[in-house]
Amino acid sequence: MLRTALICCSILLLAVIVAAHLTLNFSAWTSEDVRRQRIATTPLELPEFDLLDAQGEQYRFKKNIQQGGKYVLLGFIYTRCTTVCTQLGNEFQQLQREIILRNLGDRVSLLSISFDPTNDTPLALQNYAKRMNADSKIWRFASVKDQRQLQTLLKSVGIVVIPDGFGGWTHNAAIQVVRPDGSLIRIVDVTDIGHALALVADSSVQP
Amino acid sequence: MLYSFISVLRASVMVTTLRRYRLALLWAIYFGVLFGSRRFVELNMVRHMIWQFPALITGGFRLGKYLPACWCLNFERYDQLGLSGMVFFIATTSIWMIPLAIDLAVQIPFIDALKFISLWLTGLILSQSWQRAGDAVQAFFLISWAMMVVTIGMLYQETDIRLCNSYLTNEQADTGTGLMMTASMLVVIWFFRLFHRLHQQEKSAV
Repeated sequence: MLRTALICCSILLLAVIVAAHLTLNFSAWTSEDVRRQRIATTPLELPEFDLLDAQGEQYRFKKNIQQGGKYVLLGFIYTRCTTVCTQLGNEFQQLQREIILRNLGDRVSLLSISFDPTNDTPLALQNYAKRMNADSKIWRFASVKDQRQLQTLLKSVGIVVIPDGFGGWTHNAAIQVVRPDGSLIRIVDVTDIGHALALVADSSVQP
Repeated sequence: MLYSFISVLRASVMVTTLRRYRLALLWAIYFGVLFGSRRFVELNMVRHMIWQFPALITGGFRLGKYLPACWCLNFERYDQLGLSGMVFFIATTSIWMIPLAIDLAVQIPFIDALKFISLWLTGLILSQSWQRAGDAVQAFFLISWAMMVVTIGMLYQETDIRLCNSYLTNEQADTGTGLMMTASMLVVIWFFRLFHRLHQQEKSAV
């Protein structure tokens, strides 16, 4: 009986250890929680990629951020979206309002990247921007033309895009906070605008 | 079809070394089919959890019947009353029901392979342990496992957040319902068989 008891205990211990390791000491039970916690503990150096913006101009993402010297609040969209993305769109509209109100325009900008480059042409992005009443000094739109770069970006940031059963897409929407040096430092819940702006506003840390 | 193949094999001759290799080939095909269909099966959460998980566990369980008797006897020292096997079963199934684990299995083939092997092994070990455990021990483990699965099923059904990045919320709710139904059904079937057996014993005693 002793052998059985020992084996049972060691199985349980092993299970607890595996579960603790998986869930980051039982704090993150979903992969979204793990993603956010990982980024919060270690900033992630984002890959460099080419963006095609709503005006049809191409530019490099990281170089552009580093030159601009501003924080970037990054969100992923696709313009034909009528579900999750409208929520993200609304949040970004609110963010834009707050940025203007609090005069943070020189510290932070908003960027919405489309993960559907075939349909989200510069014209589609422009129309979307108009629908969202986007101020182009603060809120910009772009798409990643190269599929491989797009997949690398989505994978490194941890965005999983799945079909929503209605002909559209859904993904784990969130506000990604990018430092002026091009590294992702925090992932904030879509409903938590105040937190995102607080991170940007009072961080007197030099980029 | 696979199972009838195996039972025909078993019924005809005793398990010789040659047959054992053929059996291994059949199991290789079984794993190949399950792993090969993983992309299709794991597209849908209900298919993934309500079809694939039980398929793996029952597959392992069925092999248990054809294990050589000397293996079974050797393991009995470590598995008295079937406790070790059942603890292993509960531990493995609970870990693979964590939403994070499901997401990892869908996204990373290596983790999926681990899942396949562990669930199959769980079934295999359970086939031995289940027979060793008496009615009382079986009842205890079955009911506590079923309660855990029903609780998890209810969580999946009721939560507003999307637990798995790979699946939609309505799939999640359906899977929750499926889990609850599977667990309750297993308990009902077990009790039905128990009462049936007791009834037969009473009849033959009279």
